[in-house]
Amino acid sequence: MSNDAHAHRDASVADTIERVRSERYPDIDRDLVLEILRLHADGVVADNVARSVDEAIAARAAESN
Amino acid sequence: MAAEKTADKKTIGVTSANERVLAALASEGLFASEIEAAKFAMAHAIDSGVARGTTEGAGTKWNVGSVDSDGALKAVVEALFPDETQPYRLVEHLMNEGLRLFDKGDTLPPDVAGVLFATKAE
Amino acid sequence: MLRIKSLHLKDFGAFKGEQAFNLPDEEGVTVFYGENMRGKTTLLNAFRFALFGKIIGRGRRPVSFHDMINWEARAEGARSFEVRLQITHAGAEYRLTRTCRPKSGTDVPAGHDDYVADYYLERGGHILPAQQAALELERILPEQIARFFLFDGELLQEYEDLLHGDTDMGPKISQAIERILGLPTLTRSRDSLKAALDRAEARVALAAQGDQKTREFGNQLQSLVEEREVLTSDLFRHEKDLEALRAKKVAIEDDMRRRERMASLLDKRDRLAGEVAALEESVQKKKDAISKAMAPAWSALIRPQLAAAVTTHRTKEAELQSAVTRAQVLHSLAEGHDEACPTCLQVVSPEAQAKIRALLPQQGQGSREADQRELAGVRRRLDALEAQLAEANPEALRLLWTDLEARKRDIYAKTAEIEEIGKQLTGDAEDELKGLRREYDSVVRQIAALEEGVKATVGKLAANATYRENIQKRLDKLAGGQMEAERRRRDLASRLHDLFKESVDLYRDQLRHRVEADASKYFRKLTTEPDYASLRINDNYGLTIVHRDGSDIPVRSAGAEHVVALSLVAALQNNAQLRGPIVIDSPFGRLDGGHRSRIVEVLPEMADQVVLLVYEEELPPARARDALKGRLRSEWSLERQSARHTELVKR
Repeated sequence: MSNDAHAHRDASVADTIERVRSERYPDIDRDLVLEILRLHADGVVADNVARSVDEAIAARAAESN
Repeated sequence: MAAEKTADKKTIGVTSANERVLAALASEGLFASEIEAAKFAMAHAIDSGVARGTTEGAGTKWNVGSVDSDGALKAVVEALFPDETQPYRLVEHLMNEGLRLFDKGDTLPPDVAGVLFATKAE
Repeated sequence: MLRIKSLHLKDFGAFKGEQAFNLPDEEGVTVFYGENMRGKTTLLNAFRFALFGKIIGRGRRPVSFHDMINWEARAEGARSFEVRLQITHAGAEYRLTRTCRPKSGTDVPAGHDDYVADYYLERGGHILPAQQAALELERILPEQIARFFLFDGELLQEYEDLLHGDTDMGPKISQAIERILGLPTLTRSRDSLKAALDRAEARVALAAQGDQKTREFGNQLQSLVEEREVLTSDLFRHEKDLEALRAKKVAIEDDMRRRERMASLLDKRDRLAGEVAALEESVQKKKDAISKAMAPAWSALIRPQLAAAVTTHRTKEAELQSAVTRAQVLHSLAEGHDEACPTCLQVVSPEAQAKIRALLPQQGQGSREADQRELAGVRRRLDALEAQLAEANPEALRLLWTDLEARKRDIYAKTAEIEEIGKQLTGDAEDELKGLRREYDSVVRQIAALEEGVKATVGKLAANATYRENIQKRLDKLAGGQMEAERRRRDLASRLHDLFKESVDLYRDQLRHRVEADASKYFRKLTTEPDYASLRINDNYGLTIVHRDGSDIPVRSAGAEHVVALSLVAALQNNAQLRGPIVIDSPFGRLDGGHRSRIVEVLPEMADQVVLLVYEEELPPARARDALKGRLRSEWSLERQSARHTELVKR
């Protein structure tokens, strides 16, 4: 298994969600989606995920106003 | 005694020794009643060539009317033993002799199947 | 990418003293050959112990630490064992050392609970603080997915069970599969966004309550939100309970499987007892029938005598009949009643009449009547004899009795068998199994009840959602100040949640297709049946073999199922987010030589680093070398020193 293949697989979760975003939810900010994903990535245990998610949403909601 | 012997019996009995065998025979042979078992014992005696005679001390167990309600028994005994004047006395004797033949002691039950299936076809 | 560099053992199981092996840097397969009982499974367990502090035995049961100390070493005074694993991961060097020793204050350890297993993790030569070490380990290889890296015939068996789709392991394995495939990031995001949406809705309600115009709706919304929280926590609790119950059910099933022999004996005994009862009933019926049939049995006994009597009586009847007839004719002629002789039809002259009359007095009236009476008697007896003969049917009786005897013999044989089974069943085993079955039934009932409860709660939540949506819509028409901002957040949270929900479904779908394609690829390489074209995957990652002509292959041999399970594991390895070595203990099951060679050929494609534990008879070294060629990196032997001492020797 080549490293390229691994990179491809690791990227595929983000790819999939980006595809859905651009096709069906173009109004949602791409970076917000990536931020949410990052907050829930494997192996990362964050106590304040809920708060971080709320804050990220609140910030984008205010911007888009 | 002679007077008694001139008239045929009105009742049929088994000797006290044979009572136990009769009970065992009835149960082993799955007979519906002891009368049927006693008839079976009688047939066994006939088949074994038991000679005519009388059994003393048989007591009274059944009325002949119960044992032979249609008279068939009497007719058969008369047929097999021509000139018999006291068929029921003979029936009683044959029954008791048959029971004696079936007696295998306390431990073994009477061999009903053995006797029954030793029956040869004519 | 996780890679194993070396493994050190000290007094671990059969591996007495300090022993170690290195795995080469190059990609490929390392084979360990060992006969049964030499410690192949122990070696697999050494990895498990180092990584997770667990040792698993047959039937997925934990093995007592007390039993893992090398027996000879223990006799010589050793009280601990240790495993050290050197690995590289994401460019860093790690050294994981786990030691099992008696708890302090335990002078003479006697069981598992008298021991404690501690570990420390070094990264780049520095010991990590305990908490960080735990996090790093979890990142390197989460225990839940270790099953795909350290596996044996039992894991393959679990997959085979999964293929039948009738076990409670299904959802559990599906979860593990999705975990290894990287779905949790997405599903965690989705679930966390759902929670964010709920919070946003609650804030909208709060804002609405703060405004005179919207207070009424705000209050309603607030109480609906509160209701939803209650329902959600109910649901959560129920689902947790359900999970626990399902796990319990699986455990009981496991237990029952282990007692299968006992269970089959019990079943057999119950079945036999049922048959005996039925036979006894039929014997009773038969006895009743015989009882009826025995009434005329006496005539069967003397059938020949009866038949002979019939013959003599017929003769007698004929004799008497002709005597009576002759007397009647003579009498009639003598009296002149008839003019002609009935025999010769000649007129009887008066002289002849006189002659007849002269003959007659010798046969008086009385004698004639006696003959008639005797004839009647003979006829009566003949009737009785014939009636008895007709009733006497020895053949029918024989059939009845033979049948009865056969049934009695059958009962006797079965009763003897029941007694024999009884000897093999200890009272305890029976009670335990009965207890297990009762427990199982009870768990199944509880699960059913909880599932009903969950269904009802889900229904209520759906109704709650509909109400909330209605009120939200009305509220939206009454927009005002603070509420506006809250509503924008809520809408964004809602859109985000939808986006992730769709992405999860899409990704799962893609994963399944990828796993399906890869599993098919491996399957074609592994199977020796050219007509099998591919595998088709279902929602639970169960796989069906598809024939070349497109039809499903419904019934599979144990061998085929084994190959399918291996194909699935290989496909999962291929698609895992986490890449690592695989350590396989006896993966061949009941497969034949042809399949074994193919599996060995495919092994290097399943992972960069493969450790294969086998015994020489299932995979002769020559065959392994031939199948692996340049990808065979090293070979080791588990060599017996004594019954409780094995040495690792490089070949």
